[in-house]
Amino acid sequence: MTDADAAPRSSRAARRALALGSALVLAALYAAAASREPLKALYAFFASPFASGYAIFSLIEKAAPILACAAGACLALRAGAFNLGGEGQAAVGALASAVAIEAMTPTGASPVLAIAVALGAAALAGAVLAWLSAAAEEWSGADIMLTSFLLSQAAIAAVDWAVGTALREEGSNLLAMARVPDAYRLPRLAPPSSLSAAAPASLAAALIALFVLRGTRAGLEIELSGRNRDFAAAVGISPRVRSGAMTASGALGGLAGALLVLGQAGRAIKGMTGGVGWDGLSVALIAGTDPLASVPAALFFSWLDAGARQGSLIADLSPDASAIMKAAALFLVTAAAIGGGAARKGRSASSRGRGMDRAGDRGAAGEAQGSTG
Amino acid sequence: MSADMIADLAASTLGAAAPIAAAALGGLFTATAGSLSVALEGSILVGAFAAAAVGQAGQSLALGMAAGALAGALLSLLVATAAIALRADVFVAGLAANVLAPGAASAISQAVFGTKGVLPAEAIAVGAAPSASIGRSILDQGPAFYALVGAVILLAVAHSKSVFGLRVRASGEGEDAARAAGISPDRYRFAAHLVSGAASGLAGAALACGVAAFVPGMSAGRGWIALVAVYLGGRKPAGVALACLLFGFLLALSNLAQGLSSQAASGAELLQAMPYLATAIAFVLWKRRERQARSGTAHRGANGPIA
Repeated sequence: MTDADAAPRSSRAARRALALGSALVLAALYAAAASREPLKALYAFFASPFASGYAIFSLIEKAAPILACAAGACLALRAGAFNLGGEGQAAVGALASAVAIEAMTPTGASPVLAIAVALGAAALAGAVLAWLSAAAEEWSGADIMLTSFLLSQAAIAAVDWAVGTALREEGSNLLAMARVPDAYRLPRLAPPSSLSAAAPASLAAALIALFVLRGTRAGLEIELSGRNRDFAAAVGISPRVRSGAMTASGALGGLAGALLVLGQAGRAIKGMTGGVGWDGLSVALIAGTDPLASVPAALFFSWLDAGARQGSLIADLSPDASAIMKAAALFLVTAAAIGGGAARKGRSASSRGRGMDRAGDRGAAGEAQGSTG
Repeated sequence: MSADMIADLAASTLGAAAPIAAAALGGLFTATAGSLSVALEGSILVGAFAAAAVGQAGQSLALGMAAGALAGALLSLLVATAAIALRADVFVAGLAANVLAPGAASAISQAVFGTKGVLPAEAIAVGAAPSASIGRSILDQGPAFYALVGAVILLAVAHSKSVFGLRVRASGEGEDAARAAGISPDRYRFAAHLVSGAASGLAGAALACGVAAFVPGMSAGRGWIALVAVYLGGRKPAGVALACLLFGFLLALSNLAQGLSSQAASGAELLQAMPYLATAIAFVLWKRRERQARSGTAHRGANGPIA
């Protein structure tokens, strides 16, 4: 048990809110200091993302894939698996959904069936990529953190090639596959804004992750495996639980890719994941690996992105400035962890980093002798 | 395969391996100090940016390299302060630094130079590129490359032979013993972070020299590859350097193959996946072998629970 568990939930939430609030103050300082037109910049950053229903709906739509990745990251982090492959998992998911739609378009399949198959294909693709890392760790002790990153990089290169070269739409001036026919896109909820069923779908994903973690035996086993692998082994929890959490994490990353293709983008475009996996991981850490707290955190990230985008269009800010605020929120949340903080799962990251080599041995020792915990 | 081609391959292997090796040997200090930094990627990027910006402003390669190392160290100072002074989680703090680096580089670039994209820096374009480009001999690598080789040798020797290196390792391996010997483990962990940041920053500076510019995203995962090399190399300097050479070779091979197949371009891009995939496979097989070797030996109760 860490201090974080002893602290009441409300005080942890307050600490997180404080960290996000401080990040916003920083954003205001940046917008005012970096721009030659501070008032315009402040308006662009803070107000324009909420200036119209259209802007607000777009902000929500852009938060959807981040939330799906974050829900997945929560599952993996709770199990103590550092899934750094969210970006690649989203990329293979995007490709799989686009390929599924292209394959089904000539068959005239019903939209419900086509979308369900596309989402399923995406989740499967992401799950397989993540499972490879989990299985490799079970087999060899090779750390998930490193293999998930390497496999993700390889997958991104392969997806870039597929989308930008092999399956690229002929005659298109974009490095992209053909557009998804309107009938097969996720239903638009508030045209003309981009808001689609991706938003409720990602919310459902977060709620399912929450239910699995809080309300099921699997959730308890994930939690125990994440806290102490030796103890988990000693009480008979299979290492498969950790692999399962990692695989589910990949499925949600893949789903995020499909939400991009069938939702806001409407097609698979080279490089389209654009950091959604990393954003999801950051959101999960800021939310203390709680899928429900990930909802406001994902919206917060989407707001920062929208603010920075507007700041670069209306005023003279950098569109990448949102990264500074995201980093500040991460630093503040984890530094706020002094008194028992938000990144409770992250805390085991450092100790795992310390014992990374030994983590493999522990696995081996666990298999060989049962565990002495 | 002609002799020229082999020479090219060897040259680009060294060129591709050098920046990764510098970052990896820096990272090795944090890994063995017991406070693994995952911020190498961010330090490489800010190092590249600072080298281009300062090197161009001062019209000096040496100044650019120094600025790169300093910028990398500054970013790791942030990580070390959060992780050690403020007891934040070192993984999250490192991740935050990696998120910060591209944002900070872009914002500064926009505010100071009015460009958010490529920042040209002809002044640091002295010598050839420490990158896997084709068509030069092994020794014709330019001063930035030799600075990296010097740093790699210095770090390797410091890690295994110096008192500082010994104390860093003691801080990670036997924290209590280190304390009993009057060493403050936290102080050496802090120093290890600074070393890793400076080494990664230097690596980034060399990358910027290679293309005579700062290009957003130019770290391109090298910081993470460096971390893999730390573990693939068994957390020993020679092993780490070898792991970097392996990855450099794979990268050079992939680039060479892409160059050769440029006429039939369709599949060439796919080759970019190869170095990562091959490294992942090598890493998994190596860990498997290590596990098998160890499960043969007597039982190991001495590790104690780590999680």
